[in-house]
Amino acid sequence: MYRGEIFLSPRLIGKRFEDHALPVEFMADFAALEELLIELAKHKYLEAHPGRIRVPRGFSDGVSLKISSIEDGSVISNLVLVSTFAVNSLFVGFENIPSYFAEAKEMLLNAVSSANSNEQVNLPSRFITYFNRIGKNIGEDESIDFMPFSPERGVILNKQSRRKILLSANANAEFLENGSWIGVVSELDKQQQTFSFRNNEIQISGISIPEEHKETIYQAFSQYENGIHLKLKGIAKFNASNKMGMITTIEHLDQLDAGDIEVRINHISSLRNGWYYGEGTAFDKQRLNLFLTLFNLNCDPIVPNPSTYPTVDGKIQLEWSTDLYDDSLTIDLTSLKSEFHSLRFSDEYENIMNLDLNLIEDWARINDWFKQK
Amino acid sequence: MTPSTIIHRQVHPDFIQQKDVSSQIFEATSSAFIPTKKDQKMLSVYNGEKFDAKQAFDHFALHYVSKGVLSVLVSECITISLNVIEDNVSFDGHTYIDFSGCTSGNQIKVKAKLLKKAAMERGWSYYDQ
Repeated sequence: MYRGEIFLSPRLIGKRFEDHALPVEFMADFAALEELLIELAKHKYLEAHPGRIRVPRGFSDGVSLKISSIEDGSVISNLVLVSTFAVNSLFVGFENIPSYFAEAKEMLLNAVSSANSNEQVNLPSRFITYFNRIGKNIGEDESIDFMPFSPERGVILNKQSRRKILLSANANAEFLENGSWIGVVSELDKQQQTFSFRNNEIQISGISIPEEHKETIYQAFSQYENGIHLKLKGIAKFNASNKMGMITTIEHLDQLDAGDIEVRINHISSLRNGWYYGEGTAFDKQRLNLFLTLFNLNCDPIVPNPSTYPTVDGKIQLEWSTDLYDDSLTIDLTSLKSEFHSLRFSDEYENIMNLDLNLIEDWARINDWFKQK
Repeated sequence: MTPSTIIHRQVHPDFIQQKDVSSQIFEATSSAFIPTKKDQKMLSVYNGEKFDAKQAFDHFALHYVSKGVLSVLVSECITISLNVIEDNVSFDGHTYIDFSGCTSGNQIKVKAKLLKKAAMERGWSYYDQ
């Protein structure tokens, strides 16, 4: 563990961090944060010394942010600023230099805070691009609170405030975001080694095929008529209107059947108001994803993959039908209150269970039903 | 219409999903046989004596979206205490399955599941590829 004054204690907020462990992909965000802080410190030094055209030799040599500890409370990473040249006496010979790093930190915090409160972001444009990497891994329902012990400052970086920062320098700027998308491989160009990826909301052509994913992409294309989908995790470029323009990096690919619950939930999330002959409302993506997470966590593998449908009154319904039974689970996505209804055809016997899918024991009742069948 | 008359129900594309990749089996949700609030417990169908499944699909698809047609017999409705009434409202052959005798959502759900089973056992009368 590194000793020294804690420089920043960003807190990662979201379901993914509730096990109090830092996902390794966030190391890249912190690496970019370190680069930005060093560049901002140089900027502050040169501002204070207008006669100089560069910072003193050794100004930032070996300076780095180190994660000194990770605390509970979602995930709080204590970051210490150290110099590998002088771990115990930071910045020997440059007594005032720590103050530039403190100013750099303030610039960073002010930028995030301004974006979060819808105010003008006062960060020179050459520093804005660092936010293409900082916060890139934040999901829809996630955020980084840079000042968790001073919540009144509201220094919260989420998808929305990050976009505001990135667009503050150039209203037409493009930006990168991590994410995962489900779609089909609708075109394949073997000559150019590119493919097209499509779902109800996006159609991206000319995506480069990485060698390590070539086989999966080829297979998905050959199984297009059978409804094979891909779940693609990677980085995409978005325009200022938040429209995806290109998938720039593919990290993971998984094949999914057309009937897979993830494919169906993804489809349901694309429905718009009035989808059923003027009735039926659009679904809340976050609530759909929360349900999917709970399903994946709590549903025993013995439970067959259900058919998954939207209902006109804004719920979703999972169905399992055989020659003997028709079972259904109708879920209110807001409360996660649900009704399990089973009809045995031979004697029209009904089994009805009112469930709260926030409770593990109620998922167990569903699991038990399929185990005893 | 007689008990042996077949009646055709249009199925919305979002009420269908591919059940089996290898054999390309498409299944419909039982919700396809549940009247919505707007339907006021009257589930619209086509009288099979005046439209075959393809004709019913083409007629419906002139104004609305459908992916296919599932069909049941009038007798299959009567057996589960659902009357079938041809009212010819909006076009000649318009018919509805009357759910007004159902006093609870679960009663409707059970009858919808039974109708879906009868229809799926018969297979899609028409499916738009």
